Amino acid sequence: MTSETSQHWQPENVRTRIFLRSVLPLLKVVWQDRAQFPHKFRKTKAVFQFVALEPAALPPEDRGAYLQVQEGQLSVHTGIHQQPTLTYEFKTQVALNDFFAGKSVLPRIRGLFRHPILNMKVLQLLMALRILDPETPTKKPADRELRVKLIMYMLTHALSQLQKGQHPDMCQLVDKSPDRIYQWSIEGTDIASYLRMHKGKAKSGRGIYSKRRPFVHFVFSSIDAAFEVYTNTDSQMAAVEKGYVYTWGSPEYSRKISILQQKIDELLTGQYGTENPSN
Amino acid sequence: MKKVQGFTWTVEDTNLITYHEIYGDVLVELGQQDERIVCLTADLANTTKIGRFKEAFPERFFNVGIAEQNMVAMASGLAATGLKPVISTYAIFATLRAAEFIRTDIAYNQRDVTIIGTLSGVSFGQGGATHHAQEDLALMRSIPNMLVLAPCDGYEAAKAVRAAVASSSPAYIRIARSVEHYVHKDQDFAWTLGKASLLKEGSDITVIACGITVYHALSAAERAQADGVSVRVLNMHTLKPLDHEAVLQALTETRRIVTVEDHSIVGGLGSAVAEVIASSGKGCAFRKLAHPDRFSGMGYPDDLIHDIGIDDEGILKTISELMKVDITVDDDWQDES
Amino acid sequence: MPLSGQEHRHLVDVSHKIRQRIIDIVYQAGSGHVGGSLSQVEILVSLYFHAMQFDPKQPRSEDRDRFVLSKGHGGLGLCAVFAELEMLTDQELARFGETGFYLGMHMDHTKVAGIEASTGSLGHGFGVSVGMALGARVQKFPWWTYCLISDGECYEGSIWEAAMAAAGFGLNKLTLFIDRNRLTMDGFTEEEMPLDPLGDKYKAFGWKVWDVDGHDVRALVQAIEGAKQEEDKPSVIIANTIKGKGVDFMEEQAKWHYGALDSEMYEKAKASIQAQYDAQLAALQEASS
Repeated sequence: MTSETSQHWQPENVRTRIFLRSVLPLLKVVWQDRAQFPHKFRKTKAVFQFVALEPAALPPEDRGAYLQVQEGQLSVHTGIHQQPTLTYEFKTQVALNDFFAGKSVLPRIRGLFRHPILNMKVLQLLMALRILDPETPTKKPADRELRVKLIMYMLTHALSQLQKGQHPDMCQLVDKSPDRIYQWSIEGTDIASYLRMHKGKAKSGRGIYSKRRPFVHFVFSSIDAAFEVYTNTDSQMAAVEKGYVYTWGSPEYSRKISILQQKIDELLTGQYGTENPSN
Repeated sequence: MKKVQGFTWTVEDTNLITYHEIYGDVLVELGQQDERIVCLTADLANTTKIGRFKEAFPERFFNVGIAEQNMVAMASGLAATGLKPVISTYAIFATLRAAEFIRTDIAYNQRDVTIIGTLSGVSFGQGGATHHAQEDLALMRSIPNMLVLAPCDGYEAAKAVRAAVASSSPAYIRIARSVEHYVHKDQDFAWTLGKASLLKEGSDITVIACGITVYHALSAAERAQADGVSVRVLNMHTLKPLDHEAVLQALTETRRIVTVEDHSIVGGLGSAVAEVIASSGKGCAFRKLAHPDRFSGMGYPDDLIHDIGIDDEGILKTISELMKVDITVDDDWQDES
Repeated sequence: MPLSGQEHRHLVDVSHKIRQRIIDIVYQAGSGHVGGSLSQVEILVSLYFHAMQFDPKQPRSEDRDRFVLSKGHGGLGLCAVFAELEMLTDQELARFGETGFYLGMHMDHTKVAGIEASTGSLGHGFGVSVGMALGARVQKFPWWTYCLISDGECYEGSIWEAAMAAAGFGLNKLTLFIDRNRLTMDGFTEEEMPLDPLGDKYKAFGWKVWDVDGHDVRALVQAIEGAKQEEDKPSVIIANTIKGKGVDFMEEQAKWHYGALDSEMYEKAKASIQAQYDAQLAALQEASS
C-alpha cells in the first residue's frame, strides 16, 4: 500500500514545501492583480527572507525562501539569500508552517529597526494571502476571482509538491501512472491549471495543457461556482447536483485527486495523517 | 474536528454525474412526437438513462426484471403490433445473452426494434470479464438487417438513437459508461448515418476509431501534428453499413491505417476495415488496436484500456512506429509558479 | 440436530465479525456490493462454519462440498467469510478491487481457491451447480452441492431451466439457497415483476421447499439438515433476508445495492452493526434466563 519512499515522509517537511513553493509564489499573482503593491514597492530594491532555523540538516531550499523586489517587479525564490534586507526567522519548521497557516506565531525579524516601514509593507503583502482562508469575507467579485485563481493554482502546485515531498498516497498514484493530465478550468474564463504525472514524475502548470487532451477535467461552471466549491465544504456530489462543477473522465481517479486535495487542506491547517485509506 | 475522508455514494448517484448523456431526453422528445415508441429495460431503469422515459411515460415503459432474452422476444412481439420498442441494458447481456433472440426474433423477423447496449467494452472495468462486452460488434455486425452504431459521446449517441428509431430497422447502439470525455461541444454538428465523420484532415496516416477511442485518437493526432505528422481521424460511428468509401480514400490518400476500438481484435471495427482493405487489392500499412484474444481483467477501465494500448498514449506509440518517427515526449517537468 | 447454545452463539459471533469485515472491505476498496453482501451473511455462515464438509486449509480437496455463488456480486461478502476462515490474509483483502488483482467484484475460480465457478452474470451459477451435482452422482462422489442465488436472479429464464433439470434428474444432493431480500437495483421485486408465490413455483417444479428467516442460523441449519433427508428431489431454502442487514441506513434501500462510504459513514455503519449485535446478544441472554 505504501510507496518504498514513504519512510521519508515527514508531514512538516511537506507543509514547508507547500508554503514556500506553492503558497508564497502566489504573491506574484497578487502583485499583478492588486496594483497597490507594485505601487507601494515602486522605489524598493530589497530581499525579504523567510527561513526556519531547525532542522538545520534540511537543505536551504527546503526550509527557506525569499522575495526579491526591484524595479516594480516581484520574484520568489527558494533557498537562503546571502544578504537579505529583512529576515523573518523561525526557530523551528513547525513555527514557520504555523505562521503561514495563519496562526499567531511571531518570527524574529532581523533588520526590523533599520527598515520598519518596509517590514510593514511586507506584512501587508503577506496579509493579502489571507484571501485563501475560507473564513475571510470576500464580497467583491474581484476578491472572489482572486481567491479562486489563487486556490486553483495553489492546489495543483501543492499536489506536485506532495509527490516531491514523498507523501505516500500521492506517490502511490504517481509512481505507476501512465502519462496523464488532470485539468481544472472555469468556463468562460482563462483561469485554469493542470497537473501532469507519468511514472514517478509530476508537474503542475497554469492554463490549459495544450499538448494532449486531459485524462480528467474538472470544469467549474463559473467563477462563483468555483468560489462556492472552494469556500464551502459541500460534498462533491452536492457540488455536481448544484451544477457547480462537472467532471469529465475517470470518476475513480477524479476521486483520488479530490481526496489528495483534502489532504493538502489538512496539511495547510496542520491536521494531517495518513491512517485512512486513500480511496 | 477531524475532517471527513473520502466520499459516500450509491448507484443512484451515477445518474447525477452523467447528466450530459442525453439519449434519455431524446427518447422522451421522440416519445412526445410518436406515441408508438415504447421502452423496455431489464432492472436498469434507475441506472441507465432510459429511466427518463419511464418518468415521462410510465404506461409505455416496461421493466421485465433481469430477463434479457424475454425482453428481446417481447420487443419483437410489441413491434409486431405496430409499436416501436427501444430497449436498454448492459451491452454484454443485451447482445450475448439475448443473441439468438436478436438474430431470430428481431432481425430475421424484420422488427423495428432499437437496442441500446450500455457499459460496452471494458467500461465496467471493475465488473471483470462477465460484465465486459468485447464481442458485441462482431456478433451484431454478422447478423443480416442489423444497423450497428458505436457513437463516440453522448451527443452523438443522441443522434444515433434518433437515426435508429427513424430508420424502422433493427438497430444496435453501443455506448460506454457515460463519464467519458466528449468529442463534440453540443448537438449541433453534421452527422450522417453510414458515413464516417472526418474529424481531422490528414495525409500521412489515418486513425479510424469508434466509441470512446475517438477522443483518444484525436488527442494522439493533435500531439503528432505538433511534431509534423499529419494524422487523419475518422470517426466510424456506423459499423454496419460501414463507410467503404472513407476507408478506400484513407487507403489511397494516406496509405497507412490504424483502427482503434474498445472491443476484441476479432470481428470488430478493425476486422471490418481489414475486409475492405483486403478486398480492394491495394497495399496498405495496417494495424488493429483492440483487446487481444483473451478475457480482460478486473480493474479501473482507464487502466485496462491503457494496458492494451488503445488510449491516446498507445495510439501515439503506434503512429510513431508506423511513421518511423520518434514523436517528442514532453520532457518539461518543472512546476510553473 | 439443532444447534447447541454454544454453537449458536459461535455462529452469531462469526456473523458479526463478517459484517464488520464487509464494511472494512467496502471502505478500503473504495466501493462494493454492500447490500447483498450483508443480506447473505447468515446463509454463508451456516454453510462454511457448520454444515459444509469443507476444510479451509484444503480448499481444493477432492471430497469437499461445493458451494457455487451464482449471485456472483456477493463475492465481496464471500471474501469476508474466507478471511474469517483464514483462507485470505488482511493484506490480500486490502487489495480487493485493485486493477489486475485476483480479488474483486466477480472472481475467477482459476485464480481464487474456494471459488467454484467464475460468476457475475446472473442466472449462470445455478445451472453450473446442477451440472456439478449431476457429475458427482454419475461418478459416485460423496460430496454435496450448494448454490446461492439472489431473488432478482430468478427473473432469468435460465434459472427455471436449471430448476426443471435439477428436479428432472432427481438431484437430491443439491441444495439451493435464495437470498430473498426482495430488492433489486430498480426497487422492490414485487413491484417490479412479482416473484411470489416463489416457494409454490419451486414446489411446482418438483423441489422440496423451505421458507425460513434468513438471519436465523438455527432455522437455516435446520433447513439444511432437512434437505439432507430428501432422497429423490433437490431442496430450495428461501432465506427471507434484509438487504443491507446490520447497517441501519442501508437496510431495505435499493440504492445500497452498490456504493461507497466516506470515513464518517464508515464509522456509523460499523457502530450500527455493533449495536445490532449487542441487541442480539441481549435478546439471547434474556431468552436463556
